[in-house]
Amino acid sequence: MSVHRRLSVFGFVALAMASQLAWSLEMAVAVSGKGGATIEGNRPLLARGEGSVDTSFSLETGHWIFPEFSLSLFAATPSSLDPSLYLYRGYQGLSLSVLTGPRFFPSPALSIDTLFGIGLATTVDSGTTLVGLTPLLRAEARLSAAIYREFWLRIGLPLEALRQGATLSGYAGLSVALVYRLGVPKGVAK
Amino acid sequence: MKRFHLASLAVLILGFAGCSLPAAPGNRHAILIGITNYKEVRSLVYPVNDLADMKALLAKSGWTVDLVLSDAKATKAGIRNGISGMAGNLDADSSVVVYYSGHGDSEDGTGYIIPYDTRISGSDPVVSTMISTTELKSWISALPARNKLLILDSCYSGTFVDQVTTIDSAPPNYGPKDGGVDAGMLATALTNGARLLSMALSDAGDPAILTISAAGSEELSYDDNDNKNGAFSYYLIQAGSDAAADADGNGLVTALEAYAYAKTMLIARWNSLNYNQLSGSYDLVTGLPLYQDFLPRVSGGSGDFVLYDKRF
Repeated sequence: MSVHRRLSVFGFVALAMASQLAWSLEMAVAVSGKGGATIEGNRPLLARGEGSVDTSFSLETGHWIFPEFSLSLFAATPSSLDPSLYLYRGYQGLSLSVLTGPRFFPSPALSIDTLFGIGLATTVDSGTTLVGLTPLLRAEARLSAAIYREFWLRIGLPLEALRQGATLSGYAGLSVALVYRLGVPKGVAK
Repeated sequence: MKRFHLASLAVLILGFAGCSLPAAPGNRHAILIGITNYKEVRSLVYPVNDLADMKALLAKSGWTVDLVLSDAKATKAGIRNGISGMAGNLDADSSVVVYYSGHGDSEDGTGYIIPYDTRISGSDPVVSTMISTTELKSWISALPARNKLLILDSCYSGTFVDQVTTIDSAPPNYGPKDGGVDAGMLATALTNGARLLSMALSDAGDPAILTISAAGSEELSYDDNDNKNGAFSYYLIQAGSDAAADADGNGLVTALEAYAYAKTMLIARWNSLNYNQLSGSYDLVTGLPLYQDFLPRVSGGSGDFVLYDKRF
């Protein structure tokens, strides 16, 4: 059997399997609060906070979420002070991320997701006209519960890391989201 | 019981992170330079007031003002020696402020401040008698201090401001047709995306000196006849007493908070058309206002530090 023929057969089987799988399409609006810290070069690690409003669109097939696109408006506070009264400046921005990951224990009433992904954030330093573009890494563990028809309530534990030159920031926190989920099976086949 | 311990721990962490402020450090030193009357260059009016007001404010905020250099004392050699002479008072945990109010210049994209003894040849200052960006920054960089702040109230002072991992979305010569300071921020980030991303992924650290300038690299700054100070310095100094400057209300005004306050006030007052019409006059040939818009600038990087400490 030629390679092309094998690939065609594999594609057909994969398509057939996919058609049997459950799927869902989600739109969510979330708010999150995070605590974190920043470090730069020889400077100390200093604590800070970040808040964000996120909207996301995601597709789940075969208990795997891919892709999830997340658009976030965020603001980070200035950091705490070191003993010399130095601090890291605050910033605001807009980020776009793409995430993927498995969905565990899916049921019509409950699901658990773990997602990880990458993104880009445009930032502006608070009170200035200085803009930057920074890569970010994101991960989130989520528990979703059906609350009314297609509406779900989702609690998440987001993690985030940003790099801007020698400055590294990391955040962890809590997010709460209202989710509209389409395509959930109405029942279990006998 | 376990729940109680967790709650106590959470309260403690939040307390440390958000509420406690470090004790005011004692090792904070400033050198103030202001030139009203020059040897050969046209004189100014209010740098003398800027010096007096800044000296009083910094002293009140816990800074030791090591040296005030004005007029004939503010020669090129005097400024160099004054800055290097601070080294003996400093250690690795010190903070330093260097403040300058006077003339500035820009020649072929290089910025200068103009000391008292700058010579004039024809109608132009002799470059070697001015203090270049490189010279001034090398003198300050040599100081053994953790935090270094350079404040310049002079024309073209934006030439001293480093950008590092960020780009200033305001044009070098900001004007009323530029649509406000918030316009074009996202577009600037996206159109310079490759450069910004490459810098973000590099090991570029913060500039050694946090610099605040009164004006952009192609802008003039002004003496303000109404406020009897440099137009920028007036608001930078006001930031030490106006509660609006303390954005987070913690009794400490950082360099960036003071900068942001001065920028906001300059936009609201000096850069407003009505204010220009009242205070300015117009060139009889070009019709352009003699008092034009300008915008303070600040260096990039992630750092900031407390400038005015109201706990004293």
